[in-house]
Amino acid sequence: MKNLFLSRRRFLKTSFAGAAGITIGAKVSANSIKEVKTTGIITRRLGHTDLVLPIVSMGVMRSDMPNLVKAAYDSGIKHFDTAHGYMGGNNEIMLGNVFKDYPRDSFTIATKVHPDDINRQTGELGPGSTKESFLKKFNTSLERLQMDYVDILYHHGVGSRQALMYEPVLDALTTAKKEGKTRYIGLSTHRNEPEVIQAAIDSGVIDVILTTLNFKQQHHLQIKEKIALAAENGIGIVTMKTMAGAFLDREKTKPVNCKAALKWVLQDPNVHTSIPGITSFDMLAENLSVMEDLELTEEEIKDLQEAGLVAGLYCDGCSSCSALCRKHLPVHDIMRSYMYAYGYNDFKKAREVLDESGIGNDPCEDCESCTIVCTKNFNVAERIRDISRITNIPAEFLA
Amino acid sequence: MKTRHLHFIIASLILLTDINAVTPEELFPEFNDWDLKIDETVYVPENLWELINGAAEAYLAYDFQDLHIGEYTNAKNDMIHVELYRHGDPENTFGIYSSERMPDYHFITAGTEGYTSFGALNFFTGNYYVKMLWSGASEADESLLMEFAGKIEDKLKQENRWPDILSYLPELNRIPKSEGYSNENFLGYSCFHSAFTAGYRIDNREFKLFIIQLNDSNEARLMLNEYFKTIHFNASGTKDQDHIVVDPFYGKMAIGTKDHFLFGVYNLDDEQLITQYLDQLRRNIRF
Repeated sequence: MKNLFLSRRRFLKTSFAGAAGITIGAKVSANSIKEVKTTGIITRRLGHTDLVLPIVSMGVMRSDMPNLVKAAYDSGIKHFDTAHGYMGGNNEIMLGNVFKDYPRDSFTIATKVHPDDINRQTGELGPGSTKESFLKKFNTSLERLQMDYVDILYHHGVGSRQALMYEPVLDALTTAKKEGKTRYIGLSTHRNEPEVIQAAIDSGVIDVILTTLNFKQQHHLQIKEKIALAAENGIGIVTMKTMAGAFLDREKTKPVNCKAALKWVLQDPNVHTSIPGITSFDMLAENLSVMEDLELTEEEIKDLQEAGLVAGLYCDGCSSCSALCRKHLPVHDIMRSYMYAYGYNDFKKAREVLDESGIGNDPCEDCESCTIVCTKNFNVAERIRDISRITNIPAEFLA
Repeated sequence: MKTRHLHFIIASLILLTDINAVTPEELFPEFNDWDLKIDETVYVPENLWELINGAAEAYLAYDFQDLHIGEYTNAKNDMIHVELYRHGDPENTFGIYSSERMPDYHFITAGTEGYTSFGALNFFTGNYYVKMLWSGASEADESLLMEFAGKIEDKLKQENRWPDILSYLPELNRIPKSEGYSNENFLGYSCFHSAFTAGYRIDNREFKLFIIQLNDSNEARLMLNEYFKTIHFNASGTKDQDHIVVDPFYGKMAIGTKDHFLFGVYNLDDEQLITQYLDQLRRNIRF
């Protein structure tokens, strides 16, 4: 680890200082980029596994940057995360080409495989999700990676308890582990995380959970509760999407303080490592600086607090407002209609949702004040007024 | 209140114009003996991850706009699942398409380019990246998939053409199907964006060329200077248009400008070859 630490430090100090002109007679400056306080890389054991990882790992998002992966490795990042489906398989191929020249025990690799037959609405698996097709994909992944085994094989994108407990896929995972093609098995989840994490605990076979976690999620407290329970049960916890989308608005004018957001997640000791998607050397340097210093500065705390107040664009369906409307309006459906209109430009669908819910123009008209307090600080009454006006437009104009 | 109401109506009418351009029914053609079911959910940047998880990151990097999904089924319970990814412009569509393409796929005539692989047929046309997947009782019928692709292409009414700038990259020793496009953070540097690339092979040596088109020569010079600043290369005092520097992550990097273009060669040590390719690139650039 010491060598890795030194490599990382050298990256932070001098990564851009080695450039040298060899023609033109130009002079080379040897300025170093900003140095970061170094007190030692923080590592954590991944649950009951024997993997002890730096708290910052790498989500490998681009297949055209093998040198970025090499730089991350040389700087002390040990764990690299990819998936069977990333960039049509080119992501795994790139990683295979990079790591074929490195000692196999000097890094860890996780990949993810998606079952074939998923109901997109419910997240449940159907009969097309077979053990054979899952393992076939996984074997292809191993070939692309040019490896005999991966360190973690995830069931990719689990969205329900049913999906996790689906016998053929669970069987495929345990078979891969028994055959030595993966050291540990796990799942990744982007939605219904608390339910899925609880199911993972109940399954008794899951070693690692890769879950979304960031300060912008309305239900982050429920996720953290389940994470704590999973960690207590010896399950390794890896987090993703820690940067909350990197921007607070669609126009990308309000960037998230990504370093602060990553620190916020990693301050939870039950989170063992995180896999921020790294697509530039600047991002790499920023993430490396978090590896040994998790303390949030006053400015970072302020940034997170301010960002937390930015509501974002659309209702995330927490439904906590349902009981608050004195007229018992189907607020969640109305907000869904709002999203169809303003998010998807689908006015026809927006109108259909309102019609199905029996909403006419300005259903809030006879309310003097709104009793709804939105967890995202939306002005719900104003949004209802805005979207309900669509019922004034003749349907044929929306067809 | 009247003013706000008027604004809403105006905004609605403006948006309606756009809606008419992308109504799902207008995107998916009908086929004899196949039932079409269009997914009610339209995926946009905010929810794409719900469908394709972490893979969404790459699509978002290529200015993903929206995704419509349709499924065709026949009496034999075969299904053709069709995904229509719309990106901001043809360059970004080419970018995401080429990032998923593998050179050993079976390439076909569909859209600007397409391929088949294990029951899948993917192609790109204009702003659309179309992905089709066969599943069901029967073996995938490639000719039928081709027929579907042709009708979908007709329905989308896009212009099929390669980005013009690709023609500036020399053809000599170019690796087939190696062309790509990087919208941001090209080579991992935040100063580089909008780069078209191609791989080259001479004997066993592989190297890459890239070219970036900026709005004017000043922008090209600024990008070059930003790169030099990033790698701490001092180019002051030189009037040369081409530079060879040692990049801390890529080793020898040759880079130059011509008017509003910036271009370069990397992963190549032979300076004679470097000069040869830079000269060729410079000659190829016409505007």
